Amino acid sequence: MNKLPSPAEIERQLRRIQGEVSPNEARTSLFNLVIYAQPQHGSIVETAVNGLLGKRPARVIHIVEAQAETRIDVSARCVEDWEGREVCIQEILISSGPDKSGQSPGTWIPLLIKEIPVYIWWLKDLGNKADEIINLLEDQGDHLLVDSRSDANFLQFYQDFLRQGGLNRLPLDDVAWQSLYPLFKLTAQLFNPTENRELLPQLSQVSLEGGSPAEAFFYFAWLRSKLNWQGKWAEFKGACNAVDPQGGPVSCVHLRQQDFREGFKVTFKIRTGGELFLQGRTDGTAVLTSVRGTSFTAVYQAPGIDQVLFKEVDRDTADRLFLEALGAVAI
Amino acid sequence: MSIFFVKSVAATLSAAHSDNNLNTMSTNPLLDGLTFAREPGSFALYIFGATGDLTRKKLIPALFSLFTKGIISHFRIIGFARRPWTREFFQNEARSMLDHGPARAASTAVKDAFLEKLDYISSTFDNPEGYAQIEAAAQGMEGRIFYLSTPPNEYPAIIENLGRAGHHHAPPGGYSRIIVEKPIGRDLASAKELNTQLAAWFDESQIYRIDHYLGKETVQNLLVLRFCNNIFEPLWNNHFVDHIQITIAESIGVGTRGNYYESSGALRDMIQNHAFQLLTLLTMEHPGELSAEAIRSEKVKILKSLRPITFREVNRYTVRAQYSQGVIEGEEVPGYRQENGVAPDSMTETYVALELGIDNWRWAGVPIYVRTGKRLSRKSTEIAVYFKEPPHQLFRTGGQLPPPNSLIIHIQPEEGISWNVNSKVPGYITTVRPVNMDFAYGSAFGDTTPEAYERLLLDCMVGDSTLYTRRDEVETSWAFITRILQGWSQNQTPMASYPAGSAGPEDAKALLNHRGKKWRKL
Repeated sequence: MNKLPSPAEIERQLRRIQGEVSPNEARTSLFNLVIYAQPQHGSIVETAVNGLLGKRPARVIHIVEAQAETRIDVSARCVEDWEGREVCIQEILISSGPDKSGQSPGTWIPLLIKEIPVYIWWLKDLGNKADEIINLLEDQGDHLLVDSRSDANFLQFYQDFLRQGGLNRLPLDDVAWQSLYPLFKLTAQLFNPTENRELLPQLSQVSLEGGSPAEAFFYFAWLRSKLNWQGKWAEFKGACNAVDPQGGPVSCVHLRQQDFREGFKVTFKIRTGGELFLQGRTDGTAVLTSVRGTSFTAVYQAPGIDQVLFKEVDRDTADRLFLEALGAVAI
Repeated sequence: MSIFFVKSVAATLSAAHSDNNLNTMSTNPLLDGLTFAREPGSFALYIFGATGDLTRKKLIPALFSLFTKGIISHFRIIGFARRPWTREFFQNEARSMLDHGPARAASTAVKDAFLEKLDYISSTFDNPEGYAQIEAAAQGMEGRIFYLSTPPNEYPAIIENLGRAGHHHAPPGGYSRIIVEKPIGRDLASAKELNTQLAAWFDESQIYRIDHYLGKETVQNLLVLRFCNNIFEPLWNNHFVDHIQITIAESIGVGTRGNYYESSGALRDMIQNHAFQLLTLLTMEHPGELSAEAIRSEKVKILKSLRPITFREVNRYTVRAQYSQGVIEGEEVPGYRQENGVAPDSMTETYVALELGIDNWRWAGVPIYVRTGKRLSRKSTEIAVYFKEPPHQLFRTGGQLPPPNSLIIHIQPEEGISWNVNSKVPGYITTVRPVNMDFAYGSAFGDTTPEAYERLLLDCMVGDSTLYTRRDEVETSWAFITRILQGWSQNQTPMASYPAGSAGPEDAKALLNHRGKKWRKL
């Protein structure tokens, strides 16, 4: 294992670099963001961290697996904000070599700014890593963000995570869940007029065209938690069944995998006949159509990873709706 | 894949959603927990005076912003004004209103979707035929909001015609609300008259008197600062507070508003509404709950506790002044009496300073100094709470006592809070000097905050009147202000002068000097 620079040396370098890029008064960092990633995640991380530039001063510790020896590089980027003060992102890139020393908390914990929150963004595979994640990060992190959108084993992860009591040990959020909020809002808006709201207890089927399996699962879980659907969801292979509070069967179907930004459609079938629709278009709008066929247009923007991360680092508690949805499918 | 979640989590979490009663559906369960849970439902917003500046600069951009954020989507906006515009013309005008600021970045599709919801009624404000078109223009929306964005002299005709046409009645399943822009009167009598006109048709719960100051994040943050942080409350009284200064300073002059300003002045334009909002939020008691009625009632109690300034006392407790020619930001600017629309012998004040007292248990004996003015050296709105000296001061520097602590609440242009505390200067001897502990609001929330009108319009849509002023609040503040106005006219209080670009008139300094205090630097 080669000798890494000491934390004091890294702090000195950061101060010097930030002083060079931002000779004016800079805002105080608000949080630490620790990113566990693999090399292929480079552009995602860059996009997400760029979303914080000029808005949230922070220290970002980016731990990425590497083939070469473990090393640490530091940099700083500053942007003048709307009040004319510098907002800086201090970046510490830990390239963790084959000895994996860079991934050890002992390497990055001394680099955290004390007394401010520590957000951890786990971009690596989830699968059966729940135990590892909890054990590794429980004592250091205040908030964990994962992304199950492209993870085929996301349910395995959640099963393990909850079995370990993970929610009480490390507040958790998921990019797949957060990316659904605009769709939640549209759905709520569709059923807000009294005549549509009265149809909620009569839903017999909800079909979603678009999104990843994880997003579809969480969307149905959200509906289930809000509408008090019961029944065991033994598994999720693109479809699920439940029973509404009146005892009526409700089914949910995920019909097509597609990025929400490329369009989507949600169809709500009513037991007594008729359907309501949400149709997302690629131009940033969506059409909401009620059972009588009347429709109106609303704004729909699927959030990018930068927007999700931006929202996440402002959160200091767990997302109640997410917990409720997880709780609902656990019944 | 199987789903096997532990029972303990399920048990904890299921309680949170067991309240949904799907049989009644009186509320939308899907809205629960969403950031826009204050869902306004479908509504039609009628803007009277839609061809004016407020619509262009504030209302349309604010409504568009709410639309782009997905907070409102099922609505109609109907302009109502004299000009013979068509729906298409209004839509085109509105499109040009979206060519500035954040709206510029929106896509054409989103703008089109918004503009499609706009309509226009061309009518004079006293023509019943115009009001007969209102219902059809709503196109089935459930709520009705009537926004009076006209000169105040048009208010009576609009209110009367809305009432006669029955628009004060809520449509089935919806509501009918009216938003009235300031000024709400120009003295107690005219405020009462307007309120009586409104009350003839609309219930108080339907009336939303707007003061855009209350839409500002830092003004709202006053309540959070006071009642969410236990460290302040024990100090927030006459045992610890020496005096308070409230400053609303502007560097701009009257500009093109000379005509309007001549009939208004700083006391009416800033003190009666904005300054008193800051004062009441700063000094009110804990409201017990976050309801509109509870908060507004506490504010009214403060206004009722203000020690009246009688006409005999105006020269002692008030200062009024006009700006004269001077230099602002390196540019020579004319005096007030040389501004367009201003009489050469005008007696309208562009600056006012007051010494106030609140006669209640908490604040008795604490002088509160309020000042506002145009063409001052810099734009600054802030509240400074000065604390008393420690009972026994150990430390002196050069024989001098260290300055007392102060808490500064910056409202604009930079929002934040500063504590002034005394600290030891490093060295072998004990030298004390004041240092600032700064909290810049923007450092925690570095992006721009919502425009005040966005928040206020949304509040009206969802029926939350907390940030609007109630009738008794308006009339109580006018009762206080009207005494001063009468005192000025009866006592012929001198009109002092201050050069544009200065910190205000010399007379204002005397207001504090006799108590051994000074205004904060601007």
